[in-house]
Amino acid sequence: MAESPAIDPGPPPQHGEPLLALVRPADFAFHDELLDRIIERLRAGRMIADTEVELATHCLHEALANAIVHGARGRGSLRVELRAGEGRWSLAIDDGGTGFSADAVPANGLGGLGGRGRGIRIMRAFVDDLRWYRGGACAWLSRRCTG
Amino acid sequence: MSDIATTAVHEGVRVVTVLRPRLLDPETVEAFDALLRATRAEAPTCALVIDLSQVRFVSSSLLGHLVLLWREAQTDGAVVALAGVSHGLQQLLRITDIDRIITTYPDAGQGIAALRRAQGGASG
Repeated sequence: MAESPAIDPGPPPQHGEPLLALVRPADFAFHDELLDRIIERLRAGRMIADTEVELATHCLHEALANAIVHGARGRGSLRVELRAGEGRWSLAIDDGGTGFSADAVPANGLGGLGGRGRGIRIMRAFVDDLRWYRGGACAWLSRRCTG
Repeated sequence: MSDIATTAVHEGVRVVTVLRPRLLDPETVEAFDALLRATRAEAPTCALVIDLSQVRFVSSSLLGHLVLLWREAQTDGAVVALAGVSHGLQQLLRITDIDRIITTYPDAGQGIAALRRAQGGASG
């Protein structure tokens, strides 16, 4: 069973230095470009190993898809920021929405992430830390550099 | 004809071969699910192999659809199996515990042979 998501009302941490900042319409038409750009930057910065690309891609897809589906799909923008420092990288994906309440999340996870919390399990299998900021509107993933 | 997957019957076993490397966006996932359901509806008790040898990435949403399909097939007394699963997809199946319920085979040929044996060598 997936743990309840950690939701903080404030902004995500600004650790390290910004490496990549992208703003795209909240639409699946831009999903592959966002996903590929983030993976490319993680690989180029040796933040993930080549052997981790597949799981990293699955993890980041779940985070992006959740932001598109539950955020402002077709109405707003996704803001993505990749940062790194002190041997860690972090990725913030802000859907520009109003967030969500942990009380509204089924005990087995976020239903929209594939049901029965599979999306969260996939994300947690890769990153060390998974939280939501801005009341749930901003997913924040963090992991040690392993490249 | 779908550009997502092809369907065929080999030795009495239905085989759906996915043609895309990514099954991630909702439209593709829903279209693929509809194709799988249509294939099952033609012969609900027939064994089905889903050949994923050309697939590299799938969404958790697709995994949910596969579990539902597998459950419905179980109810009909049919078997659904996966074939040609990459290391990365196998890892995903393990993370989500789906590897505990849906059998995987190294390739479609081995899946067809195993399912043909399981359904008693039926030919149609």
